Amino acid sequence: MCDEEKPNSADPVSKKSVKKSSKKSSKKTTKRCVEKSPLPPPREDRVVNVISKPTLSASVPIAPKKIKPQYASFRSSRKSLVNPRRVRGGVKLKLKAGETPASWVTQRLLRVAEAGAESGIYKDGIEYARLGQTKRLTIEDTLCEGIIQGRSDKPYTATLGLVEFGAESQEKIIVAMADQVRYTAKLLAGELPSNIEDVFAPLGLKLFPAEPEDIEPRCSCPDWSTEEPWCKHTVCLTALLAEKLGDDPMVIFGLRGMPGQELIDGLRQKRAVGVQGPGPSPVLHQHVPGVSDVSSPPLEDSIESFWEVGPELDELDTPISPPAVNCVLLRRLGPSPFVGGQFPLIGLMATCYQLIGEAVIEAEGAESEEE
Amino acid sequence: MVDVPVQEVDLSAMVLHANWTLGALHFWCETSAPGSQGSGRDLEAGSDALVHPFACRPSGIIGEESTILLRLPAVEGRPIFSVPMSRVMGHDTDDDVAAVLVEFQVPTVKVKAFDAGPVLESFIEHAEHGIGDGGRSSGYTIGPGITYFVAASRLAAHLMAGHRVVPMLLQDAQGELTAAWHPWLSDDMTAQRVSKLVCSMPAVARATADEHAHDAWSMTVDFLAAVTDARCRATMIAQEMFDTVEDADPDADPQVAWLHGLLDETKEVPSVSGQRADIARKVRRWIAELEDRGESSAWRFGLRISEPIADGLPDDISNPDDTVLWSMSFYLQSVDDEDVILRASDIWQISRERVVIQGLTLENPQELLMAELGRASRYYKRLEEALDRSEPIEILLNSQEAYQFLREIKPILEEQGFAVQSPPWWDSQSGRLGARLQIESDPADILGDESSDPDAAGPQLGLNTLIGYHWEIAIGDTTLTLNEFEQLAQQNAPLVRIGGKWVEVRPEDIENAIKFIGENPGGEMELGEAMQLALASDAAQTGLPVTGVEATGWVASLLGGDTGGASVELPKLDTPETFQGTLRPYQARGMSWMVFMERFGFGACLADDMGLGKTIQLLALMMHERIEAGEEKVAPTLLVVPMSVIGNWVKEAEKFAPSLKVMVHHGVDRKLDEGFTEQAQESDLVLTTYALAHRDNELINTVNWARMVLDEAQFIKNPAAKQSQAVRGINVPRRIALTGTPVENRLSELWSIMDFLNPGYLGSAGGFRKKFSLPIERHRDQNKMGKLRSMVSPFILRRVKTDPTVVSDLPEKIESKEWCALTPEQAKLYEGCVQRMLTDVDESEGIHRRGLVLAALIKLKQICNHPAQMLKENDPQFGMTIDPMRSGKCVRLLEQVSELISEGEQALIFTQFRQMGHILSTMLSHELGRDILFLHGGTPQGKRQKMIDTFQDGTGKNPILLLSLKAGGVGLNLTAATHVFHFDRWWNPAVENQATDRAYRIGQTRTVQVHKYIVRGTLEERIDEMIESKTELAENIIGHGERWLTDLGTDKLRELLTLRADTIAGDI
Repeated sequence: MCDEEKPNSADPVSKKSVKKSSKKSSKKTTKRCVEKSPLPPPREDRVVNVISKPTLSASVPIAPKKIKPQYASFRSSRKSLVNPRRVRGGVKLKLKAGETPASWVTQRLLRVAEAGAESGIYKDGIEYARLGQTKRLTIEDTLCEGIIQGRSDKPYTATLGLVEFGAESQEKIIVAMADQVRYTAKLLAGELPSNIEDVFAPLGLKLFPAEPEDIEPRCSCPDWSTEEPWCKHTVCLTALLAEKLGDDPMVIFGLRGMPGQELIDGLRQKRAVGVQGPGPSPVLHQHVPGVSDVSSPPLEDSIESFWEVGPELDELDTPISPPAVNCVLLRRLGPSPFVGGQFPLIGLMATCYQLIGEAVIEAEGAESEEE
Repeated sequence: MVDVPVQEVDLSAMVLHANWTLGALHFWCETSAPGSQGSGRDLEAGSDALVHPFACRPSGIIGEESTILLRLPAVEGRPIFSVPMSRVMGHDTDDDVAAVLVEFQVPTVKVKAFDAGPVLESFIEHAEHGIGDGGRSSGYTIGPGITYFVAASRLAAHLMAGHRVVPMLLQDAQGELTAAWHPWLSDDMTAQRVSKLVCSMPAVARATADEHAHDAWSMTVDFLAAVTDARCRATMIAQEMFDTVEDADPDADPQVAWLHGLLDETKEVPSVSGQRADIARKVRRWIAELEDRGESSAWRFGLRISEPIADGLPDDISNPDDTVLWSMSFYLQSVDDEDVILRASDIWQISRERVVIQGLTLENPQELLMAELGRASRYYKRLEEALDRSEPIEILLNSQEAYQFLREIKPILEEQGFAVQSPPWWDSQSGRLGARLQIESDPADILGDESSDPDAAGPQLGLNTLIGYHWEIAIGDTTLTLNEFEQLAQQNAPLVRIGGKWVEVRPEDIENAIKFIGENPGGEMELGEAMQLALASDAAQTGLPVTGVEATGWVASLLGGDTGGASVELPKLDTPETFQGTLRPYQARGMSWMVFMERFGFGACLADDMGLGKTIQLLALMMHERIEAGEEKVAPTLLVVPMSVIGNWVKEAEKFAPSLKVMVHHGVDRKLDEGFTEQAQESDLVLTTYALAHRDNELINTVNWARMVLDEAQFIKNPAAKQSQAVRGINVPRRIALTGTPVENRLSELWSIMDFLNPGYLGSAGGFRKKFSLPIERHRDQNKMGKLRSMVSPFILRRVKTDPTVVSDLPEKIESKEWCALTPEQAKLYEGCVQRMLTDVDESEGIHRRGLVLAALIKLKQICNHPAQMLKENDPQFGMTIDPMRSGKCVRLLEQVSELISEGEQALIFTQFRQMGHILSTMLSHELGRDILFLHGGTPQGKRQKMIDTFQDGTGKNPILLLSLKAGGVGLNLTAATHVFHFDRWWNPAVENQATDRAYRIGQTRTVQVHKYIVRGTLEERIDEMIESKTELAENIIGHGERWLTDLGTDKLRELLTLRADTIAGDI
């Protein structure tokens, strides 16, 4: 049993952080717990209609007891074609054969590798990625490195290099993005706008590699050469990076030499300076799906309906009444973010909420009884 | 520079706009004439943008003068009128000229965020009390920007009242920290509201050139945040909350530093630069938890709480001890299809990492279940017990815990994105302790003949009647006996079984119930008071939720079913024998209802849709009353009407109730002494106008009336107006109001009418406003609306044409004549024209004579329409608006059209004169504040089709289509219309029918009402008589138009055309 992963339930605060970090690590690390007894076979059930199909997924579950043996059930026609030494707990491509990646970023990088490598090598490289031949995957500063196990005893080291943006380019990028509210809002919220390349193209830059030449793959294997830089291992590494970027596209900024946080800070500063002097910006930008992530049409496109209030306003109700549950947001927020603090912050906040609510109800003249 | 001469434009036309920029709300006023600041480029030094030529700073707003830059639609460098301005000016807004955006300097008065709400509300306030003029009574027409920011500031208030704000931390470019109160917008319910708000934002409201770069979301959020912070901060300062942290050291505790920024006037958060990043990160993470919706967006974690299995539990009141356990089981639910549920017990049986259930894919169900369980345990500690188990399926709770979970934890979990399934009785009326009002009244023969009633002479009941009542403690529909209640009180448990059912018994409910019963032992109170208590009280007022009212006897009939005044159970009386005609079944029901209401002393409002025959129902009521009285003389009914419908009433009474003695108290030669009293006392129906009800108030009070009836009762919507007060001051035993507008939706009208009908029932005007008008009109408070409805519905009978009970009684087409009167101006013109013509024709012959007659006939028709048409006053170039009050027909048309628009219906208006079409188009657009479609012979084909499509598009945005009789005669399919107006008569009814058939044709599923406008005493009435008489002569003239008239002798012409004196509608 993997008790070391279990959160300490005595302290709710520390537990929260433990849980969070354990969730995060589960995606990256290859640490695994070994199952003690196999599960009973799937039960026929009215509700559950399980499609019986072997999966290649290798994400590590949060509940540590529920690991199933992967290899026993794995059968694939591709298996005979590549025959590397097997790795336990390697980093695996989650994407299954025949599936299209959900993220355009992933799609794009896979296409780059496909264009660069010979088709057989590409297929083998992808198979390596599926099988989990990568013992370790690191992305540090501007370098992506993988330790990949092939057929020989020792694993090879493959790296992918991207062109870094120089200081001048970085400045231009920030200016261009700061001009666009929707880029800023999304990036500040840690998301990547889908048309982000529109910012880079006019500057003669690319954010994500689009051609094989945009990537510089290297590998310690004998097949690698500067003329033929795409070997099984570099393809394998590219595929894993592609998936990684699909999950967390902000990583690309680091690979380009401008870490996400720096970019965000730069943007925040630029935006503030650009418009109304050094204006403060909330530490958290709020989201309303379908609204905060959609930018308004240009004013020019609205001339016909320039003076028109949308019909949605007729449906907007704003009843003034005390909440069903007092201070419900505070209750959801839980204890103060400042763990060591002596001041009874939450208690005082609760009083503030009461006062604010009462003052507004009074001012809006909506008392339930006027006497 | 400006080609419109100042003296010819409506100087009062001012549209108020508002824009939010740089932390302040800027008000500016669009005028129809150049502002006093003239032109030039020097408004703001350094800006080379043009100065808006029609903008000025609004007066009456306290704030700093400022100037902002706006990008506005312009043609040739001049801003075009806003849509509201075009409407006020009666301009056609359907311009084909392409406008482009031009930056203008606009002078403004700027108001700080804290004052934005109150200032906005004060303008809306004025607008709401304006009289049918699009809110211009304050001098300003409300522009779309005002509408928008009013809604936004109301949303901010809603969020603050509901504790939906968060303390926020802000960081500027230098890293300095400030704090502010922000609204929390990301939760589902709020997000929906915000989404509606932002989607509705008019482009003009984001026309500012600033950091928000015309982005609706960014600008709206900035406004909401500023308003929220200003108001919250003001409260903190007023309550001196800063004192609580004054002694604490902000350097030692970042919480204190943060509070410094939240509680004081300054927003600064004192901090040393080394700590800032850490503070910002902690606050960010903390608040971000509100957004944490878990790992999966397609599946949510659910908890199902089930009551203990009843086996072996006693059925009577019992307090299940801790051995009785509630189960809380876990499941995963698809977000897309909430019926797809996977129980934890099944999930642990799955050996695969991916399952597909009814086409929905679920990856790693076991991991998701555990992760979400962990997340839920953050909010509910009891769940930690489940985390310790290897395959958690459920946990067990005792009753106390189950109650605490349902009451406190459930809402929090639901807000955080979890599903919670509670037993069906939870939070329902039937599952909670409350008070029921029991009213006893005598069983009465509710419509029976009055001889059985010893006090039949007059109504003796009404809302002031004392009725016997007592309160009962009940759970849902089950009344508790004293014994049961005492048992319940002794249990001291929040969840209790009573009669085999679980109920929630809050400890405070028990206390309140004991107190309530102690204070309200029962006895007698006025019926009005009882109804208020039963129908519209708050738990805050009574201490206990009032769960219902039960009545016996005649009060039960008043309260009716759930729909109140529908009075389904009332027996239906037959059409009175002396009534000339047959009442449709729903009309007979309407009459019976009025009989019932009067019998028990209630004022009643008959609010049927236009065209359902309110006039007929009232006339039938009067006939019924006279038959019941037998030989006895029944006192007269005073009928107060707008001037425009006097003729109609007279005509209808002649037709349906010819035995009624009708007296019209109107005009300069009306009786003003004892003669009036005498004649009135002998009449059956005395008609007068609202103006005279005020002016001749004393005289009117000398008569011993049987009842007073207000027609078009919305005329008294302004309770402070003299006419409203005069009408309310007339001493009558019975009151009836007739109106066709959906009165329940117009609260000032509703109060006024109800207070006329049943004085005092809805409380004072001020109290009513506070309790109902403000929450309902400003904030669309559905709860308050529901209470008000249930209070007033017993007194209002409103049937609409689409009611199933009505629709079966209705023919497919209802034709009615609208009898209008000439104004003195029209009468003078008319007589002058007739005299001139008679003199001229005497002296001429042959073709010349015919020409003279024809020309005069056309003029007479034009005068009947509107003097401006004959005098050719309108020139569409200037877009001048013509005063509708100068024409009896126009006044009536406006009344009817506003009414049908308020009912959401559409209408065709036919006129045979294109020129009149232009006048009407301008006039209606101005008065109704809407674009009016006008299709005439000169309309190009493309535009014609566009107009028809617009009219038929189902949105009801353009409810009125004007057509010239010839242009609109054939081929068009206009079934969106349910009303057809013939503004002027045509000799040939076939032409009219053909026009009518545009609406009444295949595809029309509703009843079509045809209104034929006829001015009494004029040529139009003769034409009508001619058509109606169906004589040989009439048949001959059909198809020949006016030609036969031209051959008549002068004497015949005089007889035919001379105006009858009694048909002029003077102001007096």
